[in-house]
Amino acid sequence: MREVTEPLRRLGWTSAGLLTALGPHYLYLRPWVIAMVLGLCAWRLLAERRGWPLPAAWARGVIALAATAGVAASYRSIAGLEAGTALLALMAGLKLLETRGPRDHIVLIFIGWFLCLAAFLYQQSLPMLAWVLPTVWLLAAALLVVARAPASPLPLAPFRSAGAMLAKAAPLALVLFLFFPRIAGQFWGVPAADRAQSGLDEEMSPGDISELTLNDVVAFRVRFDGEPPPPLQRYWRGPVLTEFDGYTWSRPRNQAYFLPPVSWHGAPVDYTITLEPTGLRLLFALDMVQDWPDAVGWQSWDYQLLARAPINTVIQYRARSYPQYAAGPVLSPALRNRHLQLPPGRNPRSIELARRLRAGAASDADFARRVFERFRAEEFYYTLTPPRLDRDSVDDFLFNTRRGFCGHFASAFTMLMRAAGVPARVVAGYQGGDWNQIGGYLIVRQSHAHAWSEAWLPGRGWTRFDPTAAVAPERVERDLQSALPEEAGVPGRLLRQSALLWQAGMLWDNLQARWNELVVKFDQPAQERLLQSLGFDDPDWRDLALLLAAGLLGAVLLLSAWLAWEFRPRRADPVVADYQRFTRRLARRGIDRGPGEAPRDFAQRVGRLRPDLAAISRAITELYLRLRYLPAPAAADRVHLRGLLRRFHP
Amino acid sequence: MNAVIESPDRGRALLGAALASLNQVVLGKEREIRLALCCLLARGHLLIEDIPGVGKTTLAHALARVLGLSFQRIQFTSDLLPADIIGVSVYDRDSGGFRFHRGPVFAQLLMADEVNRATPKAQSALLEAMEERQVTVDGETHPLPEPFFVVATQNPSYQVGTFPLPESQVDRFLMRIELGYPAPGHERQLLRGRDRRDLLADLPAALDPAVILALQQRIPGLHASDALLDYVQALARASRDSGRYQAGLSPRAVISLLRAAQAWAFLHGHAGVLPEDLQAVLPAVVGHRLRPRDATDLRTPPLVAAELLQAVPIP
Repeated sequence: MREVTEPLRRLGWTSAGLLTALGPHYLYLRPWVIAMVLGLCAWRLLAERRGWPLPAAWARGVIALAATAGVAASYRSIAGLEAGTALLALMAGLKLLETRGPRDHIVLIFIGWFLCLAAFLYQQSLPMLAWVLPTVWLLAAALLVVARAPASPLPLAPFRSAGAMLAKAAPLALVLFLFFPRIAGQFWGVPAADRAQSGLDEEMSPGDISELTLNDVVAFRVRFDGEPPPPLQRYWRGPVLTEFDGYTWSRPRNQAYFLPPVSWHGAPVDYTITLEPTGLRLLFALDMVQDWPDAVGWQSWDYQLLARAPINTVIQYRARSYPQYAAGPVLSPALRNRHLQLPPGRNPRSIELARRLRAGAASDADFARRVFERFRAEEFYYTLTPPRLDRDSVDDFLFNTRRGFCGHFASAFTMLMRAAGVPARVVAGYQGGDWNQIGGYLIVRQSHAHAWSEAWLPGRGWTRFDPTAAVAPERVERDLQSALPEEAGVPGRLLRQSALLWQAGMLWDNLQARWNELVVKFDQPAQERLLQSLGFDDPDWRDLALLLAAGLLGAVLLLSAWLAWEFRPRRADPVVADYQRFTRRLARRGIDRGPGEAPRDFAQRVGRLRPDLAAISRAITELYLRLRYLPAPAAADRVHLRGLLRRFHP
Repeated sequence: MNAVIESPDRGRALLGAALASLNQVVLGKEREIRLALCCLLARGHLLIEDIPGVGKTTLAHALARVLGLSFQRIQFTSDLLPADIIGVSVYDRDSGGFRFHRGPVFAQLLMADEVNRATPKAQSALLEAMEERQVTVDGETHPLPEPFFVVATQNPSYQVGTFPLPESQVDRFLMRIELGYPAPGHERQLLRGRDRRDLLADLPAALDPAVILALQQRIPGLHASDALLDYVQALARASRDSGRYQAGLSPRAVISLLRAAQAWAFLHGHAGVLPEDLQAVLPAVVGHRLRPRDATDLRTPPLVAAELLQAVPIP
């Protein structure tokens, strides 16, 4: 075993810090980038151990150019989050090849901290925090190792020192977090073009939603002001799909109509939604939404809420909805035509069926009821794994496969409606939600994705029809798991069946929700609310600056007070205070005791300089020595000493 | 014997008598003689460093006489071998086996004269015996007599033909003292008085080995208050943190310091160790263990120690 030399030790710490800081990026970086960084790191450590020479400047230049070219070729860019991080990681690895002095190590450690910051650009979740905080600690410890010349014998000593330093810096960080002026807008929300998106889209083909159902990821969380609405009313409206090409439903582009008026009835539901980033402009609200913050979004003519900017970071908004409503009492001819549009020559059998059924029905509503009955009475199956459908998807579904998920039923129902001359459209969104008892809020996951239909009926306006409810009422009344047979593989079934796991999951989700609400979502309005609760009626940047300065000053004072207490002079022995009274009084007469002067030597010197004080000084000194250094001091000695001191006035 | 253990005053009286006798022989070196006695009481070994002819041998000899200890003297030379110190196994024709002939190390007071004249090999043979208080030859362990007290003398290392003791060896001596030239009055007495060797012959023994062992056992129990231990530790910390020395005081040195201070306090009739006791022994105990980091600093060890004492406030 060869001895670990000081440069190797430093290199080890720096490399460990750097590789740990790259940790979250391993999920996003291309494999070749990771392999190259690890390879560079390993080579540098080996070179240090074996004493190999470092590559010359021209060689490093060539490698750097090759790496840049590799990033440009692999990411088609050298800017942006992913390419930028890849480039940074590669350059950090290359920097290792020229690390000689402490300065190079310090540069690498700062790159490590920057990588920690960049990790939050991907996601600002609790697991990320759990990774980044220890990494920051490790990097601080590495900085101590690099900066401090003599090695500390204990391997964990740098961690202790770094931890103490970070703990002392924490109050400052808190003050800066609370009072540093927040930039309006989404500073963190870097649009990541190639970020894997999952969630509802503005298009729906058969099978889309059943894929989503496999995804237990949270879409948004809802906190209700009062009681949550019953499950049957939990329809979270998302994209409204009016265009149909015979297979896929989609949102029309660039179509502007007047918003048909809505009348609301019954009691409103007030709630706050914390929406996870999707990269899209979709907002979700309980049907039918009446009020929402204007700054966040606007409502399109089909009652869909759209965000003013793509949602790249967690956002939060309040909304008010009325579960009972009448929407669009009058339908303009243009809108009617739009909602009757069908692709020519597609799904002929279904059109034929619709016309036949409509002929036997008394009204549009009666016709809808008959279609529902047909779904219920005939052999239609609700399944997560429907077979693939051919081009004429509705024909294939209604007459051949008869197995489908909510999207299939909604698509078929809407098409039948249109074929029978009833204006109709597909609404995608979420239905239901998991109630978190610990936090008292509703979790809506991607697995709650749903699709239903809306048809316009004379006198009633736009009316919701959920054909899934006809086939599998449990889906709507309870949840997906209850609607499917036991043997069907449903994600999270184990989780749902184990009470303990379920509770633990809810606890974890509650933590995440709190984290989102209190930390990630702490934006300018939240800062304003905080200032208002602190008594600033109309807070502006001056109040913020004042609070920031006061907070920083307070934190520094607090730290100083603590340090003063930590390093306070220890004077546990009252006898010492007595003796100090003696020496202080002599010092005032010009007789100073040297710091290392033994009490008896001092008493002798006092006697030489002031013979009149010789006796009493000797007596005081002897009492002091007896009380402080000899075994079993007597209480009487103390009294005696104090008595002498009272009489001692040189 | 038991009286000594039960009454410290009796022990002190005996020590007082011993000191008086020693002072008759070695003139004007009262402080050094007290330090030497302390060293013995603290179960340490003594290194006397000075130029030849200032009375090192006389002091060692006088100690042996007055303390009633068996005395051996080894003159260290460059051709001295370890066997010359510890002894040798010789084949015995009558018994048909090897018999161990004890070397001069088997004495209660061993004087190692001019220890830095010998090669490191011979030096280490002695120093190992000092540390272990036993000698192992041919796999057989022979305990050294009790008490076992080594007084080594050393010429200043700048003299020709010396092997200076390495730091690790010097650390095994509890104290290092210098004798120095006598004061003029004492020198006059030396000139007028009888030959010191004759005086030595007449010196009565004031103590005996059993009393010394009993006194040695008393020393570690002498009261040292927390305040004093704070002082000891403050001194140790200062020696380690100040950066003025190549190495700070080792824990062994710190324990030695306390033991020596306890012995000094006992000798002076203190019921507990006072700061002045510590200050009295500190130059002798730490002087040879602290080397200034600055190589151009040529101050003598006592001065280096005095600087430490001045720098550290008594807590």
